[in-house]
Amino acid sequence: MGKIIEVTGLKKSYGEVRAVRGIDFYVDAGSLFAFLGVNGAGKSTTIDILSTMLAQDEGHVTIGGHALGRDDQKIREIIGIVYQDSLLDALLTVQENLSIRGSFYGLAKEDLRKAVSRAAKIVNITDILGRPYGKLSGGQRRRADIARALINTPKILFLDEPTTGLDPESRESLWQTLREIQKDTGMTVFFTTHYMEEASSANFITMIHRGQIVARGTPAELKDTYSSDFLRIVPKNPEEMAAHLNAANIVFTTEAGVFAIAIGTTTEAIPIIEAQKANIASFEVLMGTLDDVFINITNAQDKGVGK
Amino acid sequence: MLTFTIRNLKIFFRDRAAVLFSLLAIFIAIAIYAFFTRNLMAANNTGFDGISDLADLWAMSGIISIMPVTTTIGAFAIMIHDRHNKIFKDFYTSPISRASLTGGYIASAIVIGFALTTFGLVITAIIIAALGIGLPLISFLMAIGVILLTIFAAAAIMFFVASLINSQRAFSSVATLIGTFVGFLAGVYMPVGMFPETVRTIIAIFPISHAASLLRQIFMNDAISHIFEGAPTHIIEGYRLDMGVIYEIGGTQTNAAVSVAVLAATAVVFFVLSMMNISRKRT
Repeated sequence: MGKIIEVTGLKKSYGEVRAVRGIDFYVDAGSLFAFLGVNGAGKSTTIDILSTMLAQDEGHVTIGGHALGRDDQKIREIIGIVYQDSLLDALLTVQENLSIRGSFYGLAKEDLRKAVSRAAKIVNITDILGRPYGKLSGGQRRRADIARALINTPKILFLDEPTTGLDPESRESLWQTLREIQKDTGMTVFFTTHYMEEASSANFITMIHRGQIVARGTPAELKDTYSSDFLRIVPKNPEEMAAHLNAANIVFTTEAGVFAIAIGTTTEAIPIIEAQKANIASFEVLMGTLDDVFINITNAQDKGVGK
Repeated sequence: MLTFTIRNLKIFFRDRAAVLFSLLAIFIAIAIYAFFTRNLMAANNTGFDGISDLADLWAMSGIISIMPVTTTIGAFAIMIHDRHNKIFKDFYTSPISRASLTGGYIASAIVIGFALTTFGLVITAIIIAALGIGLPLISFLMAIGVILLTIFAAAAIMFFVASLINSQRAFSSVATLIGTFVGFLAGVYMPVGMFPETVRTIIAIFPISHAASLLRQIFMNDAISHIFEGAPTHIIEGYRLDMGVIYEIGGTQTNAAVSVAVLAATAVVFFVLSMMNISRKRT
């Protein structure tokens, strides 16, 4: 799999605020790539730069083999962007919106008509093409936004926090559509999010915090590296449990009578449970989540900055 | 650029309130004249037969002359709206040139201004006809030419204003201010002769006043020579100056050629200024 986006040493400041402080990353062609970070981490600035909207202060970016800043027009032809805000015209119908924005790509009349119906079909909005965009529900709008981004059959689809403000059902159905698009067309999907559950469906996650890349890997790799599974036990006799764990050199913490033991894999819990079987009132084994990864990394970074 | 122009036109005309507000200025101007200025001018009647007809033609010319300004403001509101709501992000990241976008905004402003001002011309012509004043067809054709030229000037001025402002609220405040003052500045609500010397000079150098002057020449000249037949030249000239058919700047009287030149120069100068402003802003 080739690299469709390559970013090296990217920097951008707004006056005193250093939004992006020299980041390097790449995106494999055809992957579902998550760019993860809290609000204000530098996600939108990065997307604005990659989408040719904003000029970088420093750094080199290639998108689909074209150098950003030199071949912007060529880049614009092969990308599609779904912005955080709704940017279609509220007073016009979905059909009009798609035709007008589609005309920006220099498509001839017949090709444009086909592109509109193709994009509408992919995101399943054929039945609402005649309705004014402003009268649609949040979920329908998002679908129309995605159809607009797909109008030029882009090689890369950027989505900047695409599910913000959507109800859980619309959110899930949107992700299903996105995964289908990626699978069926082999399109590279680059999305930003601060939702862990969304990032976990990506092939690869790059995490940005305070304008710097702080972690990267597949969701499984990040979980392995930055989070651990936990065994939580409520013992009948806490002293006996503590004595056993200390004797076995097992690190633990207690809180409100609950013993928490970090374990590498869930199966490591078995011998501990076996040994204290008679002393256990209840127990649970928890798998590490991407939320832990996120919290662990951002906390560590914030403490580092605090020092 | 054509599709983008059509997009702007669709957005404008689909917003009924915006269209109505663009026309509001002329309805107000007509009302001010009908209920206030007309009576005032009748009281000052100099005793020439049919002079009240001249006043009606004066009002019609003035009202049409400010319409290019009040209607193109509404058209550029779309550009401000796109900028304010970040819709331009979608345009700037598409392979359409920025010149096409700018051209689309200006072209739609010209079309909107022309359509609404022509509509205003028809409305006022109907009123004038209802008052029993006949006008030759050639006058209307010439008036359309003046309207077109004025729209270029007004669109350039409004484009310049729009290139300075980013916020929607600021723009609508400025639009209200301009809409209110343009009538005074062009000597539309009150005849120029009622103002003191300094104000008269300000009116005379304000570009849109020259649209009013040209329209007054088109619609009033025949009637003036007819009504003032045999009257001494200084009386006729005095009336023409008082009513803003022509102006006096530093002792020199303006004529049609000067007024056309002022409007054309305004269009060019403000267009160049706006372009400089826009390219300066690009990041």
